[in-house]
Amino acid sequence: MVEASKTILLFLFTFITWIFQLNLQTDSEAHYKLKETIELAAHDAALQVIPTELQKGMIVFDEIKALEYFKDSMIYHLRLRDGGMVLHPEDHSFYQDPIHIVHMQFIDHSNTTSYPFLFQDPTYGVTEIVRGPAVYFVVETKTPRILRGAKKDIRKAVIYEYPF
Amino acid sequence: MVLPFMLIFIFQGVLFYKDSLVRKAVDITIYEISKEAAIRGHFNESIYDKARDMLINAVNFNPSDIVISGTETITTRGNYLEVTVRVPRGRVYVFPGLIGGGSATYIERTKRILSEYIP
Repeated sequence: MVEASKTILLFLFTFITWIFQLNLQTDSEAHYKLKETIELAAHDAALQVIPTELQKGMIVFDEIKALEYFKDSMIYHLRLRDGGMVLHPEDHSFYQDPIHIVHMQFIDHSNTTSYPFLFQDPTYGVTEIVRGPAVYFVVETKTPRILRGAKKDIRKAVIYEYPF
Repeated sequence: MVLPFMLIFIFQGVLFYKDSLVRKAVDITIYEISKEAAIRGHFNESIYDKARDMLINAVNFNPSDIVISGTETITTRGNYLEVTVRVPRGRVYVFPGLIGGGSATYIERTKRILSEYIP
């Protein structure tokens, strides 16, 4: 009886450790997946400039198209559904919670003429040297859980300069 | 009776961990080559070789098991390039006949990126 209890306790302990490890892995995957995806999405967004301004030698982002391409890339890579500034996960998405685009900003020749400069966003704790016109996005979601455990908040930011 | 459970509890976590690392290696590789292809405007053998090297170094795959296909025609700025990488998954479950037998036997990732290439 004592031996059986010990074995059950050992199994229980192993099972809890197993869940803990699985959650840590999922957290790690959720972080790098989101960061990589917003990098690719910001790359696509950074290519959306107004052609007439470009002909004048000015880089001015087409904000509507940039957001559209940013969302398209996120939707394609993470299996999401468009909901404005919120992207909802589809059935087979890795993420279980909506991804919110909480901030977007366009740094271009319409509002900044001198480069490089030190870009600072104290709200989200972002500091970066910006060498040319760039798009800036901040997204938030929660880490998914396969079995059980409290979900954690994830926030990722990206600044992507216009590729000359 | 206890032994199968014992084996599952000892090795299952390790197998899941290994699987997550392989998936991460594939994700990082496909991300890196997508960025490079966006600059060049297409995927080619030298980019595929770079991807194969990264995967072989990280996971020790057999080169013939790595299948990569992408947009190989020159694509100008503003048009999409696509690439798919497929690698064998390896063992994920201790007793696949018992649990997880239906899981995929390969890891496949597809990425899409706009080309930056100006002819």
